[in-house]
Amino acid sequence: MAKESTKKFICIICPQCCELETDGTEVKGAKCKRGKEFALQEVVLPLRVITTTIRGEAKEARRMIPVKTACPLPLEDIPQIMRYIKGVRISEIPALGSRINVGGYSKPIELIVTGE
Amino acid sequence: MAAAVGAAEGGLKKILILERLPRLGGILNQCIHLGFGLTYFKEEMTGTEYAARYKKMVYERDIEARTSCFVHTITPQKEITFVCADGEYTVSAKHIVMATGCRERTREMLTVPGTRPAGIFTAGLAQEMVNIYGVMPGKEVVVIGSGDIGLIMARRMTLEGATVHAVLEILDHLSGLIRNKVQCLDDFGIPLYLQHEPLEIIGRDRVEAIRYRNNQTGEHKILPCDTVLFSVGLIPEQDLLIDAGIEPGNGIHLVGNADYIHDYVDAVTREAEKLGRLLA
Ligand SMILES: Cc1cc2nc3c(=O)[nH]c(=O)nc-3n(C[C@H](O)[C@H](O)[C@H](O)COP(=O)(O)OP(=O)(O)OC[C@H]3O[C@@H](n4cnc5c(N)ncnc54)[C@H](O)[C@@H]3O)c2cc1C
Ligand code: SF4
Repeated sequence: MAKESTKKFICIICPQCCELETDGTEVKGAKCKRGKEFALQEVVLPLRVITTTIRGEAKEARRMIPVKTACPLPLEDIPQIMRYIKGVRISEIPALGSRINVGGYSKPIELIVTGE
Repeated sequence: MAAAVGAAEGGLKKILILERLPRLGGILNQCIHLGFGLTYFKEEMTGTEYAARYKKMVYERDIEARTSCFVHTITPQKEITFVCADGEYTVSAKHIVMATGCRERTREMLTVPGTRPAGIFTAGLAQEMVNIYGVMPGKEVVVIGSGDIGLIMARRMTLEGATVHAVLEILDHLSGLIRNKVQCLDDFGIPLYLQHEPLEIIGRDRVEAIRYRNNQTGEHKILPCDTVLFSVGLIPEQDLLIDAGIEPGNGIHLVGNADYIHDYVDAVTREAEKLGRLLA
């Protein structure tokens, strides 16, 4: 495949920060399989896990409850997704690892509680 | 926590953890981002998940942990005096492990000339405000310093609806990991200006702008903003020793960021567990 059609990325999966190059089918520079998958996905549609907080309303709980999205979501939609996540309020103290569903976006967003 | 777990594994019986905050875990509790545990737990987790996972290991063992207890004095005879809600206590120990973490450097905040308006924070303080208390330090932000904490906070502020106008770095290269530049700055179109030096913070009551110089061209620029976050390095927190005029040794040990600054908590955990086992 012609050189012009290849794309370069820094792999963000682990701190090795490999420099990847891909033409959409083959990946150069990846030290592991996860990097390869990252590059192939990145040319099609960049995805990211969002880590943020939601507001807890239980008195004894920590005010801001840390969460991450259960799966990576389209980078370009993050501002929109953040608006839905910011609207969430929870009145009980969620257990570590429990899941919270957020509506509004084109598909349901699942959040995992990452702190206690 | 890791020193206590190491010591308990080694068979030590009487172990006491004293923590000034209401919960164990230290700085990890405000690190809601991913990037922890890859080498220790062999999976990528958030700082808060790492803290929770490790806390379980403490509670499963015969370790007494007291939170909201502030240690204000230690002596060469290894007496520790601390205050908590129900009063002041002094205990003596065979070994003291100081795992008091680090402080953020603020000297640069003070040496940048200009007025002293509201709106100037260290990045770590901003992180605590946003992630623990849910309070935004400001809306129009400039970050000084391209270390990982600065990069992570540039993204965090953006996600929470602020505009991060730039990250200024005096060096000719990024200080943090490239991976963090990619996922914290590039993903959100935040520019990184290398070899740029803050010269003056402008504003009467609140920050109104920052003046900086491009050190390559000598050009000065004024960038309007209401918040400046400084992320310019960490210093080990050793005041308890310095105040008492004590050097580490003779049963007094430093570990983690209190000893020297670590990039990864996994390394802190390993070193502290090892120290704990040695003490048992
Ligand atoms: C913004 C940021 C991002 C980071 N990102 C990553 C990352 O992606 N991956 C990674 O692996 N690592 C990361 N780290 C580094 C890692 O989190 C730290 O190196 C590690 O957690 C430090 O642990 P510590 O126990 O030495 O210090 P700390 O966590 O600072 O703990 C010190 C504790 O001592 C308590 N204390 C201090 N003085 C007293 C006193 N007098 N009496 C009682 N208690 C006291 C404090 O309250 C605190 O709880 C990051 C750090 C920061 C700040
Ligand atoms: S390719 Fe593999 S080793 Fe390299 S940065 Fe990506 S995940 Fe890490």
